[in-house]
Amino acid sequence: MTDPINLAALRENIGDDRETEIMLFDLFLDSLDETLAILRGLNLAALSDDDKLLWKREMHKVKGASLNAQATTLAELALFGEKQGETLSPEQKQEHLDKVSAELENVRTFIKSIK
Amino acid sequence: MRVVRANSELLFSRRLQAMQAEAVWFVVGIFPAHLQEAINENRFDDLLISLCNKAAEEKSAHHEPEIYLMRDDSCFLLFEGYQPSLGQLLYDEALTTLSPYWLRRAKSPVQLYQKSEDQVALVEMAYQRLTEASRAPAPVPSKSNQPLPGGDHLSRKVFAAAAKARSTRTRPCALIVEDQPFSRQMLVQMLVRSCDIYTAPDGPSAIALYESHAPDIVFLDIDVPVLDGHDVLRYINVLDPVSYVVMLTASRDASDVRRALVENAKGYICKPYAKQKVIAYIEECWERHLLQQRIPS
Repeated sequence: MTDPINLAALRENIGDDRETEIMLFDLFLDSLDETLAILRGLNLAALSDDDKLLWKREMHKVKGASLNAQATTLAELALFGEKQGETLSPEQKQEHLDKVSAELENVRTFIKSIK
Repeated sequence: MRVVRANSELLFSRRLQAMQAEAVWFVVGIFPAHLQEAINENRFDDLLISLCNKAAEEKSAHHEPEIYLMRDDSCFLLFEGYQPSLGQLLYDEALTTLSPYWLRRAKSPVQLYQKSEDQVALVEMAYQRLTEASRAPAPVPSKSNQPLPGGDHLSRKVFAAAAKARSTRTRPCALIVEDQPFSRQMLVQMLVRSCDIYTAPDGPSAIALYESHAPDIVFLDIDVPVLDGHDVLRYINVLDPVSYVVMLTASRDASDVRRALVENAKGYICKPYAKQKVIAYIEECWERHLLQQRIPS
């Protein structure tokens, strides 16, 4: 099974200083926790136009951060959420949000294992 | 209008006394909404401390301000000083601390007055001027297609002073504009050995930092809040004809990148950021900088 983060690729960019790596991982998890909390706070059954924009923007943030963290699966899920958000039903949105959350937990577990 | 003196837990608000004849007053005005947000986000104390530090650096006679809270909850800070440059420093500092709230509305947040005995009348005058300025069209329209003015007189002056320092630099100065904390810090890690770095999480603070530090290169995310990357790029282009801006994007949408290049961005980087590419832009920008230094003006 592939690791949820491509560590080798990430270290090419940030170097192999352990402290820096841990600081960046903490920042990554904290910021994505905040983003997902915003998404979970949306009333998916009745999204206003502003909420729809917010959904797209927050998914875009997850995508950007995950790409940079070399967390490819998470980035792909976020890309799908960003691009297809408009066409998903509330139930599908919820299901997708759950998938994103589950993948973030995979990433968290992986990070814990290498700390 | 009633003016009520507010207490500050942080600072001793003491009366201005025995002022020298040549002293002037600098009045920093803050709109109610900005003040409330600043207080909510614990930024107000930071602002006071940073302004006091600036005033102290400039040997202001009274570097602890008199604080006035108006009936509508706007706030005015009075500093006494002798150097006209103090006004610019206060403006710069306030923009850095409060810029997301200030930039789009406050045309003249720092005002200069001759010393007078009647502080209340002076604050009322400052209040009136700031209120009038707030009714004027915003200097930087958000996410619109209107042309940007390239800064008001004061911001151009601040930038001109900062740009002079470019020639004395021994290594590049970079501004990173990225709202996502992890991605922003990752770029910092990539650049920290080769550059002096400023970071901004949104468009208005990016503009304020550009004006006050005249960086040699900007890494500018297209999707930043308040003013997006395109707006910031247009503003910088007008302000600084020799700007070097590299756009950052997580989008594979070519039209976004094409638009940035048409708007005079020097290049772009798609996420995930690759250190090699980032450093290559730094090197190219610095070579250009060195070349410009050799060309006699």
